[in-house]
Amino acid sequence: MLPLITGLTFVAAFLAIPITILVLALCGWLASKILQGTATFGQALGVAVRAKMPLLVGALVGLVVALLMSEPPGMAEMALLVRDHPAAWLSVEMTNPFFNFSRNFSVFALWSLGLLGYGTHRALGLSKGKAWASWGVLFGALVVVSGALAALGAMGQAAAGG
Amino acid sequence: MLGIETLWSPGASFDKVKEAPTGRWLLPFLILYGVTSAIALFHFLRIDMNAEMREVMEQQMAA
Repeated sequence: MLPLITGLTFVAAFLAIPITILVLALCGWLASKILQGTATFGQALGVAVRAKMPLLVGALVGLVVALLMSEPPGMAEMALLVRDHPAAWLSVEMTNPFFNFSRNFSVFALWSLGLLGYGTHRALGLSKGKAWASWGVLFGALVVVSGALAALGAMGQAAAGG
Repeated sequence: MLGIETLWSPGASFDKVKEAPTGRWLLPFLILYGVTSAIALFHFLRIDMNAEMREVMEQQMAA
């Protein structure tokens, strides 16, 4: 069962990347259009790809950790391959809604967000304030939605269990 | 250079995007990320298979 779970986790994570990049490019391009920037979609896509480079660093760190393992990891170890967010540092259980919420604030996600803001200002023709405000609003919306979904999931599980 | 320079020199990297707008770096990025993930995945599968084989051998030895 573990190879199947492991394989599916890796494939899902890999497939999510181009989709995320395209959505980010669309958001950057729309923000530029709405806030009187000068961007083309190609520029927005270039910024989104380059802003996701920290993910590559995260993947390389994960690879080093994986290669150092000599025993097959469990589900919890797989989720904590790279301890890059507050819930991982505080050893919060994976089933706790705070765990998923905390993943939004991983070192690599925040690094990527910083690059998105800077790239939007530098390459898409928006002022610093507008660039940071637009990505701040989007990030805030993402955190609220993912937090609400995690809380709803936890409530559903609790209701089913009790 | 594949856009990796964004990590240490974001200003120059984003200037290149402004001058030559393109999303063609998506493919090299995906290849690099895919290769990294695939190596980790195969390592996990290999150690999992080794653990299973060890368990079977231990069972045979016990029998």
